[in-house]
Amino acid sequence: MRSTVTRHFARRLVLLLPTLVGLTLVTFALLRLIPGDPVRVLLGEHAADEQVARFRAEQGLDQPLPAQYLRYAGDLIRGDWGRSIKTNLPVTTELAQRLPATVELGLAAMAIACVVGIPLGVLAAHRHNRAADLLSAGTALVGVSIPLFWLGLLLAHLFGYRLGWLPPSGRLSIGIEMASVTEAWNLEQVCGGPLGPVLIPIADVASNFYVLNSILTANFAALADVVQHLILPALTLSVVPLAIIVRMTRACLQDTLSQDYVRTSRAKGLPEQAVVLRHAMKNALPPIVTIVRLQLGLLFSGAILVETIFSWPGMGQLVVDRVLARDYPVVQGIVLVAALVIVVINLATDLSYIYLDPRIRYE
Amino acid sequence: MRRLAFTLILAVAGMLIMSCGVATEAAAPPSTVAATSPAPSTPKSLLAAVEAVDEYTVRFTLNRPDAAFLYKIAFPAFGPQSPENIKTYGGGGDLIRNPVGTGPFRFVEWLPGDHLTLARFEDYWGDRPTLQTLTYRAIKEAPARFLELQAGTIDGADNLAPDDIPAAEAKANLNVYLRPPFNIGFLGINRAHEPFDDVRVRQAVAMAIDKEKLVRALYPPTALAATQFVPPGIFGHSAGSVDWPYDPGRARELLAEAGYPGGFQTSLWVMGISRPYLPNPDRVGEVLQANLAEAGIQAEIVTYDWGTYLEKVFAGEADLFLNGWMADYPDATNFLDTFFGAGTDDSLGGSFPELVELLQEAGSTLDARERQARYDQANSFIRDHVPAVPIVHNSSAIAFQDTVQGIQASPFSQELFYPVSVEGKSHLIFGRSGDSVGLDCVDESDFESLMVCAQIFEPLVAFKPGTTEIVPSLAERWDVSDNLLNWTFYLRGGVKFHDGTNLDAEAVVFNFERWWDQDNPYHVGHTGNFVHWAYYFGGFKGE
Amino acid sequence: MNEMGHLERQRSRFWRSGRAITGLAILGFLVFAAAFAPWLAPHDPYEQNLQARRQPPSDQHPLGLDELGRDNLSRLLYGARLSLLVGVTSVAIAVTFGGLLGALAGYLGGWLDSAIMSLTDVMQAFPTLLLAIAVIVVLGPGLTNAMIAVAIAAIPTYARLTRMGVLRAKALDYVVAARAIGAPRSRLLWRHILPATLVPILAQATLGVGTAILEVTGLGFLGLAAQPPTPEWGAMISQGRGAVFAAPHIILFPGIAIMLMVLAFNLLGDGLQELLDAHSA
Repeated sequence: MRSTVTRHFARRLVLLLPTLVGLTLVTFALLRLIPGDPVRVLLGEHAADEQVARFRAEQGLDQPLPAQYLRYAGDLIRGDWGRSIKTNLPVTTELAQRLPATVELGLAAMAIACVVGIPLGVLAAHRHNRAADLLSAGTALVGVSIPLFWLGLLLAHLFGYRLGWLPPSGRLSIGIEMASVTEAWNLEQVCGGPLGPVLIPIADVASNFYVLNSILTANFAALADVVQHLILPALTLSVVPLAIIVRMTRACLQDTLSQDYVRTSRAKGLPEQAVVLRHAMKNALPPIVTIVRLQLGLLFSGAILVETIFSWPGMGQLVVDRVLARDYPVVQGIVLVAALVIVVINLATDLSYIYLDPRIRYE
Repeated sequence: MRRLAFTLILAVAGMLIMSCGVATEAAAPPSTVAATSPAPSTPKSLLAAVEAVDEYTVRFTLNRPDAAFLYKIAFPAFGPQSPENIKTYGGGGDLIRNPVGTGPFRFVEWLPGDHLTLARFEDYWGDRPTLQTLTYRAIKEAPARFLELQAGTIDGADNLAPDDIPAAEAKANLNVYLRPPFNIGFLGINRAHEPFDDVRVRQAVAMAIDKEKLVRALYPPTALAATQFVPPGIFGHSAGSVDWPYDPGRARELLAEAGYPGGFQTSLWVMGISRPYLPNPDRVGEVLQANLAEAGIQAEIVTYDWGTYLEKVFAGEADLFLNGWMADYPDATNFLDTFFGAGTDDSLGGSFPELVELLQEAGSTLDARERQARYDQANSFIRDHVPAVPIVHNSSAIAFQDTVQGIQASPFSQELFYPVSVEGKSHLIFGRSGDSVGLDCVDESDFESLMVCAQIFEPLVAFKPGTTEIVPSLAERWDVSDNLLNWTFYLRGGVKFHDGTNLDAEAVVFNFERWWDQDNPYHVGHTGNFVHWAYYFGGFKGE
Repeated sequence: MNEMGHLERQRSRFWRSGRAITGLAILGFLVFAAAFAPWLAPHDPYEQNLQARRQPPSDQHPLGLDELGRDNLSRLLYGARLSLLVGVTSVAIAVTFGGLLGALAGYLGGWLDSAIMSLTDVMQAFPTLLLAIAVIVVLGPGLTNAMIAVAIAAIPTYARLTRMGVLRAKALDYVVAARAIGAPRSRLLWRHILPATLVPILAQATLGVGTAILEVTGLGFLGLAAQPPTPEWGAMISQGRGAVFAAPHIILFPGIAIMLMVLAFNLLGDGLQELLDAHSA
């Protein structure tokens, strides 16, 4: 059995390659499809001719396109994603600063969607009557029809500005001190040895996940503040996945609940709870995982709008800001990273099917 | 395997297609090196030389007498930076993010687009600030700033939307400060783009705009519709000047005369964030668009974010554009020379030689009445030729929680925070309309950068907070020769930069040379243009 | 033949679906409002009235005035035209191009199939709004460009759908039989395969219009779609951000309008989907 799993795994990895190549092609093409000379697009229309010529030679933009692409791909792999035109920081730095914020928001939204959505779906499937049907179907429909930016605006203004229950913008109140994991655990001293250069960057990245960071540094005042800031944006972002999850859970569960083996379990006298939870859920899970995985793209798209409304300093806000600033290297970077994250997570969920769906094991 | 192959084939195919569409990059023809022009007889540069006479004495020698020289030196951007720091960053690159000055606050951190934090400089030579930290938060929308102020998440807000001012004044726990209307918001016209090269078209644009209605609707009651560029109350303002009337009918006639009976299409550029003179630029843009449409001019609105906007507008890409100016010092040279003097950018499509000369004469005349006469001439010239249409002098408003004491509304929109205290806490959060572009301020033109520089850097002399009076700063005293050409400043001792190095005459000269001399190895900066130097001092070394 | 009765049965089931009827009703109302906007609108949507900015709803102006004193109701009606037009057109473009790709892939199979599938794989890796924004980066802001951007982002979905439909149809008994007796390829395509693939695509396309409208209004909100003074719903909400409490009517009505229009398409699409499921069960 092991070899089948590894073979499946290996095959999926190999199939990943053309997709990755394709992704980098798209981002490579982005800059060159913009009307005009790419160098002038990056440097500005009024850059001095010598500056332009120098830049063109340095960046290899006078080479034939395939050579340019290979160089671009090589740079990407080496970690050189270029520099932002606006801030002059390396694109990777800007992305690293912003990515954790979006991931945190996305996870929180997904968590809300699952924690609220799945039980609702289960309930609706169980109480198979007109009222439950209408309610769950109705909420689901409205949920996918609401413009997110409008909902976010309303929530921010109502609960944030008017009622003052929750902060309407940002991730952390200014004035709340929150040390990074690296600082709090004194990692620079403690991990002096060979593990240092590996652990410290990881700790740095981890500290950008504020929820995680505040827990790890036992800073509960910060944790409370961070969670408060997270609630409204995560709630807004969760609306669409929640609606879809409710519907799908109900549909899948209804399907399974009417299956033969469930009736047999019931006939055998097993308590209702066990029937639902053990048998039905386990088989309903893969489609639910599929739904979760399909939501990723939707989550990022939603994050673009939600982050803008709540001034959440993540990648969504970054992309809007930098598109308006014509900061193309950063836009390229964001497009690539978003796609990469989705592809990687798709791979991970695909592999999880091997565990969840026993049929695959025996392929 | 197949998929891999096909993706690669697609890739090659895609690239072949793209290379067909893209013009082949022929090697750029070597740019003919422009023959260096001989040093001009009337130099553009105001400065002839700057030298360290001894350890704490700096002398400036000018090419012509300048009545406003002290005002110019008092501009916070001309506060010296630590030469060690400049050298560390090679005069550019990350220098814009790591400023080291002598001021009461030092730079701590900057998360672009989010916030910028300063902290009290413990070794400051003067009275240390009460505040321990000062944070600037970028909140783009004016209503959002007001909402956060009400919610208490910020302690002060810049540039309140005119619609929110009455509400702010009504609140007991907020204090509103109105700055004097020492600014100008205008509609710039790029003469280098047809049909704006024809003066009749420009005059038509001037007559198409209903300034009174616009200002009354979109600005606070204390704002003024502008008849000229220099606001009333600033030297150089021509009292009793007659402005173009609002007359769309006449505007259409003029357009017909100029050969455009059916009007024409053009673009109207509008900045993406609020400015003190244009707190709601998108609204103003739409109103102007409607005004122009009545006269037959179809204007498409184009928006960029502030940094990109300035760059493109200065490079002369826009047709019609919104822009403005806030006073840095109370003199006409600050308003007129910036846009119509020598060394301006290409936004208006070039300068008028007669006007440039007029302004230069006016700037070096010492007799006040003669000066005013010259400025009256200049203002007339500007009115007749309409390089731009002045629209409004706004009385921009800032508001703070009533726990904040010590705020002096600055006539130059640069409130200093060292005398400020907040009841119950030692940090202050100030919400402003945008983020700084960079902190190498002589090479920045946006107001948000200058605001921060004013806390970090100190000029040789300064304005007494809240006034237009000149008082000592880094220089304890100064001398000027009778012909107003030699200015000597005596620096105070014991002043340290934030990095611990000493301030002396060499450091001051190092900084001025860096800005003035384009061949100086550290003349790198952010864009390399050092616009403030050009504005204030006419030109660079050798020009 | 078989497929004729098949279509008829589908049609009668459609009319029994409550969702489909509701959706159709709402849509009908919106289409009517949009189509007759010039006659229904009480005022000129572009006419500014600077003295009466942000006025709340009144007899003269049932939905109030906006930031520059323009009549909200008139702007809403004209905005409905834009949203409908842009939503439907972008999906039409996506279905045409995507459908073409998918049909070719499914019908011809072989290397072309693999190539097209790689392409859709890559495109689907990007979040749709982000892909649309990237297209806007290339094309520049504007309503037409936003429509194209949204269309491009939707192409892979319809390509896949069409391909699946074609593959399934190819395997159907009567198609196999028809080929066996030597029926020409084109006849198979037009009379047998395409009709079978039509309903799933129609269902998805209807839902797709809802998504397209949300995306275009989203782009409009971000300032990347219609430029002033166009009365596009997303841009209207963005303009009203400054007065959410002072003048809530400015953002309230466009938001409700968007929700209603998207809901209508979702209901309709759901109804079509239901009928699909019933058929395949």
